[in-house]
Amino acid sequence: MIELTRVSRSFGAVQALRDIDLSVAENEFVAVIGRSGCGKSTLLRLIAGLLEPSAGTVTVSGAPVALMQQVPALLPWRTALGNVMLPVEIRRLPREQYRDRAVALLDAVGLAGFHDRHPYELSGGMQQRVALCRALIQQPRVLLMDEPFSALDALTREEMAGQLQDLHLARSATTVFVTHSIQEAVLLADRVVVLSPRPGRVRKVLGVDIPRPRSFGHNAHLEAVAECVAHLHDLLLHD
Amino acid sequence: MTRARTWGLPVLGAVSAIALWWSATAVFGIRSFILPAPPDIVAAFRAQPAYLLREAGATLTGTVTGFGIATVAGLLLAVLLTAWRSLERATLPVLVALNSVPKVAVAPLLVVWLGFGARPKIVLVVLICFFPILVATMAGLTSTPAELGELARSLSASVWQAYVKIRLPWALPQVFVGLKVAISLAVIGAVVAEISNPTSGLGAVIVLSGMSFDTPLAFAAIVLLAVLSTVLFYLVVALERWLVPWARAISA
Ligand SMILES: Nc1ncnc2c1ncn2[C@@H]1O[C@H](COP(=O)(O)OP(=O)(O)O)[C@@H](O)[C@H]1O
Ligand SMILES: [Mg+2]
Repeated sequence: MIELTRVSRSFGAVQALRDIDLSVAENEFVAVIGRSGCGKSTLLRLIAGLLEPSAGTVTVSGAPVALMQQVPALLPWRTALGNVMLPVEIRRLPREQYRDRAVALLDAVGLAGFHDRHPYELSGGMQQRVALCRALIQQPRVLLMDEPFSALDALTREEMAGQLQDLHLARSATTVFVTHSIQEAVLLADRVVVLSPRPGRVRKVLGVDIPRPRSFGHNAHLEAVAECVAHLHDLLLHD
Repeated sequence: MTRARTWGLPVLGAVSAIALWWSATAVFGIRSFILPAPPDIVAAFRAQPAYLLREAGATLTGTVTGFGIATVAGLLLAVLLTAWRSLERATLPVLVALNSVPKVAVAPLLVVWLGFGARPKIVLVVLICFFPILVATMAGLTSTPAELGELARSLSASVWQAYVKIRLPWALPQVFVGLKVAISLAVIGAVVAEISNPTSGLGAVIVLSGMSFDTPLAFAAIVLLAVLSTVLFYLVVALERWLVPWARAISA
């Protein structure tokens, strides 16, 4: 579905990524984790086709590909609903049908009653949820997310991650999810790719074999979750 | 309190200025053909209101027509130049050079080329307004934030869609910066054209009344021009508030 072979990318003298090999299977959920500046966003832009690799090849099969950027990137003159409808208009999909879907998506992420608000009337977290809906309305086969919950408080963050897990279970898409939160990675991912910085390289790929649905609450898998989190913590701390 | 501040203070300022002017003419005994007092000007207007309003209408028509043409042309050329960078490199130096010519100086030539009708006036207004609109619109169109450009590309938007849905709306606040500069310049352009070819308009009224030492009439025309210019400016401001209410919200 997504295949990167020996991919490098430089910006002038700065090598952001070196020799990345990564393949993501259909409907797999892969989390990419690493310190800031280690090339996570660059990796996502390469997969999204917004950047060309300096070396190596990137192939992505399956369309549409939806990208959720690190910032909400909402159009300030459009309402929440209008922003969610942007991809529908640009891809020339039937508006009436997708309008209902947009309404349902906004309600599902807790924005019922905020459909007609403009971005400047919404908090940072609400804006990111609108951006999530804008990515999901395209019913993407490939979903790329760049630290989608970074502007949220810890509690909302956990809640959103839970919602994303439900959404993924309900109608899966091949997903690459960039984060710097170990918890989020363990909660959501089938595999976690740990990047090491300067230049960004794959340090380790860790499979997360914990049954779904997962949570941080009291359940049978608490030990497995703790072990996974500890392992990732070690990897990130000592590089 | 806020109401008193938004309306009360400007009105108080205007009334005091008029009172000061009036008392100056009275105290120093300034004669009316040097500096007319406010009542002389009102009297001059009331002597021939139809004539003055007709000429104001001629100035208004020339101003608005030229401003409209300049707006359409400025927006179109800005889109062309930002979409096609090599065209920008080829034409922008020429445009800058043309703009540095004092447009007022070509007013008499325009009469030679275009005759005594309304056309030289409209052309001068277009020449004066066009550049500020072009420059402001280009600045707006090239200031699209990187993440919105990326959004457009990730949605596979066509160049046209990116302009219509993202870049042009984003540029609107800056377009209005240009339009507000241009509308004041437009009135000046129209009056300059009328002064160099005094067949119609408030500029012609000023020239003719000057010849006959009818200073109160000239002042009546100048006051009408000021009113015209102010009203046009605030119409543009009202249009801006209506079209881009979000700009004030995000800059606040
Ligand atoms: N467009 C760009 N131009 C120049 N340097 C860039 C650009 N994008 C990223 N970089 C550099 O590449 C490195 C990785 O950046 P990025 O992918 O944004 O990291 P992350 O998302 O992991 O924080 C950084 O050193 C950054 O400065
Ligand atoms: Mg990043």
